[in-house]
This record gives sequence, C-alpha cells and structure tokens, in this order.
Amino acid sequence: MLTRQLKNISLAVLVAVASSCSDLLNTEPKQSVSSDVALKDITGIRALLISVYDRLQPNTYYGARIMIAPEIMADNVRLTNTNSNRYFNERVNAPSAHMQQFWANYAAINEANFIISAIDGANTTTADKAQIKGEALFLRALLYFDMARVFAYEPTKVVNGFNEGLILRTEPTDDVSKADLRARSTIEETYQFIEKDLKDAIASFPATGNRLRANKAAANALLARVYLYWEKYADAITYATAALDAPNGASLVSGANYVAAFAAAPNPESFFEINYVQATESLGVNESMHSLTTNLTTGNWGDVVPTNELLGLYEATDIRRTQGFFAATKGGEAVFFSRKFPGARGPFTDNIPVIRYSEVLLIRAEAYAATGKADLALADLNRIRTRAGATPVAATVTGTDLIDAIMRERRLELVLEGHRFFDLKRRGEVITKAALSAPVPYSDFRILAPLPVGQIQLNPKLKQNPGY
Amino acid sequence: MRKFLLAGVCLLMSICVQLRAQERTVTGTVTSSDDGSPLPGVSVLVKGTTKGTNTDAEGKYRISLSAGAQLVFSYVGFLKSTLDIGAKSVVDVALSPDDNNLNEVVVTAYGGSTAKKNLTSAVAQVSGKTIENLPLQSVDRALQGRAAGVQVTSLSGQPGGGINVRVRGVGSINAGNEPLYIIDGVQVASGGLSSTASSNVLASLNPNDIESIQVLKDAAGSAIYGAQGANGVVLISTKRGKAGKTKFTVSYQEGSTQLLKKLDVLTASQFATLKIEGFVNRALATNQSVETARANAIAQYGDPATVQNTDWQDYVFRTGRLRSINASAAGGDGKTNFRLSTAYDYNAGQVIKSDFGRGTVRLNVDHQATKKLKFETSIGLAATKQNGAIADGAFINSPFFAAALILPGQPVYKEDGSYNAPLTGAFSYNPVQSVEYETRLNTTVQTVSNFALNYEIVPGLKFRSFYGIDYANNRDDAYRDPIVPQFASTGGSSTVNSRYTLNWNTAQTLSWNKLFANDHDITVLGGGEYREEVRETVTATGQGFPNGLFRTLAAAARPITTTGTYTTWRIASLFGSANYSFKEKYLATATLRYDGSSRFGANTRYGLFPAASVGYRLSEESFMKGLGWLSELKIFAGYGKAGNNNIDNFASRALFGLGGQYIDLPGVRPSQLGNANLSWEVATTINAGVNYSLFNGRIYGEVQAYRKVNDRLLLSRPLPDDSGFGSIFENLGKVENKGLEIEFNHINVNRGGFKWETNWNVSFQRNKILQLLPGQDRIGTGLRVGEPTSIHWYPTYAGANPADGRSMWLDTLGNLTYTVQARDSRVQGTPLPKGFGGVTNRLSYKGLSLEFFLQGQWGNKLLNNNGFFMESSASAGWNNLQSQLDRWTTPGQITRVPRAYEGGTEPGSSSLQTFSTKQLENGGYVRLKQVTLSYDLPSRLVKKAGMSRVNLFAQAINLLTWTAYTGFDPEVLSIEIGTYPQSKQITGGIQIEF
Repeated sequence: MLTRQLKNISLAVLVAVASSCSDLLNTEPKQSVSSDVALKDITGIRALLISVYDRLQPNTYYGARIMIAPEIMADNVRLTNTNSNRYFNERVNAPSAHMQQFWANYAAINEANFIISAIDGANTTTADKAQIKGEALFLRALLYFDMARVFAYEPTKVVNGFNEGLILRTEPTDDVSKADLRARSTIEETYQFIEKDLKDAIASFPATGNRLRANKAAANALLARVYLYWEKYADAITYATAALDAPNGASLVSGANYVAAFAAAPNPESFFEINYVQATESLGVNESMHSLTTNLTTGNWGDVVPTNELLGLYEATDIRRTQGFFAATKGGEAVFFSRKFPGARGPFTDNIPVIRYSEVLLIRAEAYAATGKADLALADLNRIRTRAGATPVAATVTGTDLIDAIMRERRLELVLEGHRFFDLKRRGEVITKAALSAPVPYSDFRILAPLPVGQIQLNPKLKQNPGY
Repeated sequence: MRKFLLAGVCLLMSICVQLRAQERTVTGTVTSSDDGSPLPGVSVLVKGTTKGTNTDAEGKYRISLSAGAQLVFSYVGFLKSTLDIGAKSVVDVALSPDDNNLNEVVVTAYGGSTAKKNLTSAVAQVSGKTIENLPLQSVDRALQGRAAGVQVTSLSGQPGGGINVRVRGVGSINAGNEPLYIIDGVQVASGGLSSTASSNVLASLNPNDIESIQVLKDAAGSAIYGAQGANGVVLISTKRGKAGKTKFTVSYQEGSTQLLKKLDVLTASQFATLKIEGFVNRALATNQSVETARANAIAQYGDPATVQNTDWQDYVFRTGRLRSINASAAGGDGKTNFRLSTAYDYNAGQVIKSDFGRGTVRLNVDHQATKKLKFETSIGLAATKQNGAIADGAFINSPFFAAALILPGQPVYKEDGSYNAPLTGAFSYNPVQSVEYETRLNTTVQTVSNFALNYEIVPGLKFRSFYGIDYANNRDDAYRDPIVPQFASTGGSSTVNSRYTLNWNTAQTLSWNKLFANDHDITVLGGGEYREEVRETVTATGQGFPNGLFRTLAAAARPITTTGTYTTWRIASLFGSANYSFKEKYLATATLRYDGSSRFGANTRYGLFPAASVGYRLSEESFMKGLGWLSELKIFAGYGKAGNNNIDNFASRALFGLGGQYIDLPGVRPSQLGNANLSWEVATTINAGVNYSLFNGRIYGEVQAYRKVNDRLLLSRPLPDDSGFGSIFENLGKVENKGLEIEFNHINVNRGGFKWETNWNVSFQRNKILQLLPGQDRIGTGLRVGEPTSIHWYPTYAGANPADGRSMWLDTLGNLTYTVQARDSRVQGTPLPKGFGGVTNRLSYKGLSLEFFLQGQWGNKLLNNNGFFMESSASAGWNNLQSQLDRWTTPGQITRVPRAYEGGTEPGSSSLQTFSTKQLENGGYVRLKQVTLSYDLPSRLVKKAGMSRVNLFAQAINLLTWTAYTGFDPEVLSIEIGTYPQSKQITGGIQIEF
C-alpha cells in the first residue's frame, strides 16, 4: 500500500517534470537574434552596413586617434604642459605608442564580408544592391588601407626587404571552423586588393551619392590617395581628377568660409565625412576631438596644440592661421587652439572629415610635380594658397623644391586631420621635433606599429614587424 | 511458525501487563535552567513507549502513565533529561542548555536538518545569535572571519555596498564564483542590483531576522544543487515563532561612522616646491631656460612661500551617523506559530551625501492545519534607499578618489562663498560642489517570500510542495546639475535606469524516514525543481534642464537615449538523496541530481551530478567509551561533483546583436559565434575531516582538508582577430584549489558564573591553474599554468639611480634599466591570500559580557593603484603623498622615490609612472573587527518592571587594523583604485524583551 502510493506519486512527479522539460528550458534573447535569421532579409543587411559605419566612430579610430596620433607622432602638434596624459608616449614616439588599435578593423571587415557575400542573393532592386555593395567595398578598402599605412611599409619604400602586408580576408566568418590561422599577404598584394575593391566600388556606385556615406567621388578620391602612397602618379592624377570633377560632389569653399565649413555638416569640401549624432554618438568630455583640441567647453582637456614650428610656417595673412587658430591660456601657458572641431554638432560633438577636396587637390599637385608637370602642380597648389590668403608659390619653384612646398602646404592645410606622420613615412623622411631628444629616422623600427603580441603568439604563421 | 507463536505469546503478555497496570496522571512545568523561563513545545515521552505529549505555551504538560515509568524530556538545544517518576504526581523539570556544539542542529538542503554530529560533509555555520545587533548592511558580511574556508571581502566601503564571497577559493576563471544563496528555500538572484553605486542583493535582509547561516562547502553537501552548487551554497534561515507566550523584542542603537584613515598628502607649499624642482630638472635636461621654468611652475602651482593650503579630504569625508531600530513579536499556540518583525536602519556614510536606508518587514507563520497537514510561509519585504557615491574607480569626479589628488593650492569656496569651480589641474571638478548638486539615488523594493505545504502521507513519509519568489524592482536616478561647470554645456542631464528581477523557484519533494530495528536509520529524499529568472532594464537619458529644481525626465529639453536589456534563464531538475545511519555510529549519504539548463549548448543541455560521503563516530565504539576525556570523535570523508552554470544566459548561441547606429539608423552585427557544446564547469571535490570534542565539550572543533578540481572551465579560446571575432567560449581549463581548515574552540574558564570562551578558525588555501588552452601554458599575461588564477604581472622596480635620480627597473636579465619593455614583467605574487581566519574571545560574568573579534588574512599582494597616481614625484597635474618628499635630490642619495621631473618622462627613460613592483604592497592585515560590551540588567529589577530582559550594549566595528599596506585599506580584492574607503563604526544601544 505504502510502496504503491510512493511509486504512484514519484512517477507522477517524474513524468510531470521530465515531459515538460524541453519546453521549460526554451529561452530566446531579445536584444539579439540567431545568426541564421539575421541576414535573411535586406533590412538585416542594411542594418549590418550601419554597423560598419558605426565601427569607424570610436575614439580609437576616426573619433580621435587617426586624427591626432599621426600629427603628434610627427611634428604638427604637441601636448600642453598640463595635460590628461593622453598621447603622452606618442608625443615622443615611444616603442608601441602607435596606432596598433586599428588591428581591430578586422571586426568591421568581417561585417563588410558578410554584406558582400550576401548582397547578390538579397531580396531588393539591382540599384539598391549596387549601392550597398559599393559602400561595403569602399568601407572594406578604407579599413584595409588604414591598417596597411600603420602595419606595413608602402610598396615602394620597403626597409630591409620586409614586405609583409596584411592578412586579407574576403569571406565572412560564420562558423568557428572558418576562423583559421593565416599568414600576411605581401604589401604589393595588399595594395592590389585595396585597388580592386575601390575600382569595383567605383563601378558599382551611381554617379552621385550622400557624402555622409560612401559614394563614387569618395572612392575615386581614396583610390587617388592609395596611388599616391603607391607612387603610381599617373593613376593618382586620373582618379584625383575624377573625384575633383565629380558632379554634385565636394568643392573648394572660399577663404571667408574656410573656418565655417568645419562647422557645416557635411563640410562642403568633404568627399566623405563621418557623421556624429550628439544624442547617441558623442565621444563626450573624455575622448572627443572637441575636448582634446580646444578649451571651448568647460571641462575640455585641451591637451593638443600646434607646435611652434608649424605656427611659424604660416604667413601672417593666412586665414588658416588667423582664423583657424585662436590664442588661449592653458595651465598658465600661452597656446593656440584649433577651430576645426568647434562642437558644431552639439556638446563635444563634431563630424570627422575622412577625405577633403583640398587634400585631393594636393594629391594631384604632388603627382603632377613628381611626373615633371610643374605648371599643373603649381596651379593646384596655388588654388589652395590663394584661397587661404597666402602668397602663391612662384612659377620658378620646381623639382624637389616644389615637392617640398606641396608637403609644407599639406601641413598647413591638413593639420589635425591625421596626415603628417603618414606623409613622412610614405616619403621615407626623418621625424624631427622639439619633443624628441634624437630624430627618428625612417629606418627606425618605431615607424611601423607592432602587431598585437597575443596574435603573434596565437598564430605561428603571423610575422611580427621588425624590432618588436 | 515458532516465531509467530512466540510473538503471539509476548503480545498476550503485554496486554495482560497493561490490563493490570494502574494508570495515573502526572503534571508539571518544564523550564530552562538558564533563566527559569518556561519552555513550550518540549517533547515529553514515556520511556520505552510511543506515548507522549508536548508542553503548552506556559511550559506545562499533563500525561498519564503507569507506576515505575520514566519520563524523557527533550527539546532542541537542550540536554535530554530522563527522570524516574516514582509516586510523584507533580514533576517540574529544569532542562540545561546543550553546550555541546556537536548536538547543534544543522539545516540541510530542501528543508531537512540533522545534528552536527551526524554530518559527513563540510558545513560552516554562523548562528544568528553571533550577528544579532551588529550594524551590518548585509548578512554576507557576517561570514567574514567567522566561517572557515569562506573568504569575504568588501568591494566598497559604501553603506550597503557590494561584497565578494568565495567558498574554498576561486574555482572559475570566466564564469561566476559567487555561491548560490538560498533564503528559506528561495534561490535568490545573484549579483548587485544597482549600477550607480556599489550594492548588494542581500542588503534587503535584516540581519536580526537571521536564525542561522550554513555554508555548504564541499560537493557532498552542495552537489544536490547540481549545476548551481560548485561555488558552495549559503543557506540562510530566518527566525520562526515558537509556541509560547508572545515575546516582544525591541532594540535601538545609534552610533557614528568614520573614515579608517586619511591619506597624508603634500601641502600646497610642499607640492609647489616639488613642482619647481620638476620644472627646473626638465629645463636642465632639455636645455631650456631654468628661470622660465621656475616662473612657469610658480605661475601654475603658486609660490611655496605664500600659497594657501586646502586638504580636500577634510571637506569630502565626514563623520557619518548610524541608527538601527528593531522590533519583533514571536509566539504561538503550538498550532499556529508566528514571528513578526520590522526594522529600520540608516547609515550616513563617511563620504559626504552617501547613505543607506532600509526598512524591512518580515512575517513568518507556521500553521498545523490537521495532524497531517502543515503550512509554512515567510513573507519578507524590504525597501532600501541609497544615496550612492559614484562607482569605485579612477574618476576625476569621484569625491573619495579626487579628494587626495586635487591640487591643494585651491580653496573649496571662493571669497564670496560660492564654489570654486572648475578647478585647475587634471582634477577639475570641485567634488564638494558636484556631490551637492548631483543626484545618485538608488531605490529598491524587494520581496523574498515563500510558501510551503507539508503533508504527512503516512508516518515517516512526507510530501512537501515549496514555492519561492525573489522579486526586486530597482531604480537608479542620476542627475547632473547644469550649475556644475562641466555639466553646463549639456544643460544638465538626467538618467533613469529602471529594472526588475523576477526570480522564482518551486520544489516538490517526498521524504521518507524510518528507523529499523532501533539501529538502522534511513532517510530518503526525492523531488523535482524548477527555477526561472528574468531581468529587464529600461534606461532613458534627457538633457537640458531649466535648473536644479527640475530633475525629472519630463523637464528635459532633449531626450537623448532610451535603451533596454532583457535576459532570462531557466533550469529544471530532478534530485534525490539517501542517508543511512547505523546506531549513529556508521554514517553514509549519497545524493544525485539531474539538471537541464537553458544556458547550455543544444548538445550538452543535461547533466548528472553525483556525490557520496561516509562518517565513522569512533567515540560511539565501546573501546572508546572508557576514555572519559573524549566526548566525541568522528572522521568523515566525501567525494562528489557539482556544476557551475554562472555563464551568460545566451553564451552558447550564435547571435547577431545590436550594432550601434549611424545617421540615426540602427545597426546590427554578429556578436558571437555559436558553440553547441558549451556546458557547465564541473567541480570535483574530495573532502576529509575530523570532528572532536574533549573534556565534556571544553575543547571542541573540526579539522578539514580538501582538494577541489574545477574542470571544463569556460575559457575564451582566442581566435585570430582577423576572423572578426576575438574569441569563443569553450570548456577547456582546469583549476585546483586545496586547503586546510581548522576550527578550534576552547572554554578557558567556566567557574563561579565567569565564562571565557575562545573560538579560532584558520583557513589555508592554495590555488593553481592546472590547464589552459590545449598546448598552451598561458593566456595573455594574467593566466599561467602552475600559477594562481589571479597574479600580479609587473616589472621589478629598482628605485632611483643614486647617481642621477632617474627611476630604474630590472630587465629580463636582471640588469638595471631606464626603459621598461613588456617582456620585463614577471609574476610578482598573487592577490589571493595564502590564508585567512578569525578569532573570537567571549568573556561573560553574570549579565556582563565582552566579546572581541579579530579577523585577518596573509600572503597576498595588492596593487596600490592610488599610489600609482600619488607616488609620482609630483610630476603630473595632481597632488602626491608626503612620501614623495623623499625624492632624490643629491647624487649618492639612496631612495625609492625618483627625482621630480615635470611630465614624468625623462629623455631616454620610461615614464616614472610605470606600473611595477613600486606599487605592489603586502596585503596582509589583522583587524579588530568587532568589540562588543553588553550588560544584562539584573533580572529581579527587570521582572519588576514587567520585562524579561534588558540589555545595554556598546560596540565598535573595524576599531583597529594592523597592516603594512599604505593605501586607505587593505580590504580590497586586488587593486585599490578609487575605492570608497572602509569605515569604522562605534555604536551603543539597548535591547528590551518582554
């Protein structure tokens, strides 16, 4: 009697619990969805493309680092005497004080790969597919190119035969088995890959586009920059011209509007600029360009100011000097702050120009000068100088003097836009500045960023850069 | 046939005897020999029969028996008493309390209990008596230094702040290490509730409601909780009513909260002197004008001769207040017993504006509906309100971090009385101002309640149906006033974070107990359990407020963000246990649990967790009985496997998650690669111990040794970054914890009303990683095979070069160097203590008692990260410690403090602010954790006033600390960086019972 009762009850409990177990344990996340359903619809692919743009925004990439590090690692800017310790080691080119953070670009590259592999089969119009594919290709090229500039030499400026480029991935990692260990391609292969992505993007894009997203003119402009780094000057001229002449594209503003243009969204000179919405994307008082490079808002760090040497290069009439900078006192020290990041999009928020009309003009000028077309080079160069209210470079200046004048103009025009270190590097030049006790020659190992140590240990096929 | 016959004869004879016996009635009162109070509910049994009764609410009983019978009086916590009745008709009995610790009842899993002497697994106990009236904001603090093998570390000195509890070491690397907390059968959700201030889920429980805390430390005890048992299980039982006259208890205490210590910072004049030195040294090293450098230093930091000093710590820290009011009523008629209690606690912290207030109500009711059916319920309600400080960390607007670092040449107020803000230097917030104008409020309303139905199907066979709920509604309000200069640009901002946690569990159990042939005691338990937890949060931020009078989101000009999170998990289980005891001499227990959890991969959702233990009470053997000095000796051992399922709720799935936004469009992105084989971690424990009691309980205690191997640890196996994913969680690692726990108690004096008792407990622990990723002996720099799960990995600091005053370190070859590289780091000790423990001395004479409790730990190293900032030879834009006056100034000087150098980085040197052994300090300490002096007013006086007990007490918490550590306090996990410092509390109070 007892045992039967016991049996019956325990059986009932067992059956009740066991039979409903599988249902009882089903849970679904709400902020996330399973990956098999995520990209089934074009809306999923569009949202994934948004994520790639989002990946450009952090302070470790376009938000601040790519704007400041190349300037402070070279001779354009310095730290104020009292500062927040940011860019403290970059200032003196300490080993590993570089831009190795860009290794994280692979997460965005993987997302671009997801888009590129899924877009052809997506449920949308051909035009929509072409636009999305063009954007993904452009972004992938930009992400790879920024890494190539940091981790590898330029194809024509290899030191000691070290021609390692990047690991090139074109397929999405949708399963752990695809996360295999790979070796770096050569620099030449890396540049060819970037070149192909940009050419494919140009072919895919419609003639005009939103300048806050990737577009045809921006792809032409970026490809011109790639060719300049590659010293393929004829191609650089072709694509720079295509960008400069693009319909409804960027244009050169007047000198009077020069400073105001940086507060406009987009800057009329931007072929592509990264938009920031203050409510959701502001980098705030701690990490924004506005805080790091100005004292315009209480609490700003105001750490980064132009070097005296750079200020000395401006003519007294140059509006980039008279209006582009303003005098201030920081911790008892007389300094000049830039007006390129005035907090135009809300507190601590500015858009970030990725590639501007004046840069492309200077790319073309340099390519002309390098191919012996001094007159055409001077024409482009002096458009920039005249616009700024500076004396035009005389027609008598040619050869290396002309190249030097263009390089100097790049400093004056593009300060705090992240070019100077890369310009010195692609030309194999020495870094000299007051903050350094000894100049950093081009052959110094610190010119290249270290690959993450963990990656080297994880992946025996991966070659570390020399000296690390 | 013959046996049957014999039995029949016996039966007949017994009937005959009964027929002939004279029945008569005996009455009496049972009291406690301690204070003479009546004891209700005492079992009164006629020896050798099943005939018995219980005493009523006044301790009275009435029983009929035959001449020459003996009566057995037994009651929990008192010694059993057997009396010859003879011809007496009134028998009053005074029962003596059972001082033998081994007869104490220990609560076990799923509503069971057993005498400590019959335990065969590792259980640490803290009784409610020990922690009564302690000003604890959460009960887990009570375990600190009082439970062997349980390491408790406060995460923050914030009133109501978080706490870190580790049972027998750190077993997991990436999954949670917190034990499972069960309050009266309710498995409560782990982790803190709030995000603005350090908080604690157990802060909702009133410590005075606690009857006992048991910590199940080994698998033999915890494996019945299966995949939730590996980190140990903390069973908290609340007090319940006992039959008897309703007893009222009221207590009140009031006291103060103070900072343990202030940091010795430089005065403005000393700081300015060092600054001049630093500027001049830099000018000399870089061939710049010394005069300009000196002028710059004075322009920025003032002239040492005239600069006015402000010690900001005096403005940020204060003497806080502490108040606790408790009232309870308990009693019942035996059929329905209840305990109702309420309490209000308020603690104003030692940092301005931080406080903690808590109101609780608890009603525990037991009702015996019929002989077979019994209901139990516990309703606990709590509301807490915490004006939090900022989270712990290196925040320049954290008052307790910034106070010592703000440039001391700046006053708090301007001459016109307004706040001096913004300040200059890296610490630009005026914390006195921002704390006044900011709101960081955390409010929680929580219930932990349960209901159980017990039905005795037949004698010995019981069915129990249990339902428990832990529901918390929690809200953070953070408001930043535009009057603070740094918040002016946004026009002030307000963030509201509202979240709820719904966590419930039910268990259906059958238990069966039978004593066979007087010697074989068997208990079997079986059942099923289900638990579900849901957490949801909603966060909204608005900016642009007219002024500080309008602080709600409705007044915000611009809505900024709204986000939310949702997560859930479920677990369903079957379990069983069997206990066997032969003559209370040979003991054996086995448990088995089968769990299915939603957290795990599709292929590995279900798991089996077995455990077994045996015990042998040698003192029950006849050959040991002769040893008069030996009251109890038991050896026991256990083995078992328990799981750790504290991983992210959706860790096994391949997921696309939110991917930020761009031009106001939302993004999604792949967030995680799937792993269908992801599973729980398994802790396999071997435990062996000895229980002893000598000289009639004058000396007693326990020694236990264990080895716990946590296998299949979740490790993030790094993937090549170029795959787009950093890592994937797989079950790969293995960690070993082994240790020795000694509990040693002795009653030193017990004579003439004077009693002095000492309780020691010491735990020795070793923690070691046995295995990481296949073929690899380390992950990153922090995890290494053969080393503890937590290590300090830094280069060795070699002091200032006597020749030039520059910082020196040791390179990989042990040579002195000015420039440190990553490769120069090595293992420099562990933050995990080698051992810890506590000692309590309790002295009592008549109504007067004095208790002092010391607690401490040794063998660990801490990173004084505050020191990283404050021991930098005044080279940066913040204040430093007095120790920096020892900076190098003259060639030949031997000192650890490098010369002042503005900016901190000399040409060709690493920055003098480089993490190294310079900041590593010995974390050992001994603390006079508690001193309590209490006095019971003479009972004659008390009784006259109609009360049963009046107790006056005074106590001090954290009164003294002995340590070599130079930061605020060594009670931190590994790194002290902007931690809300610990406090010292001194209180006095009164408790009245009637």
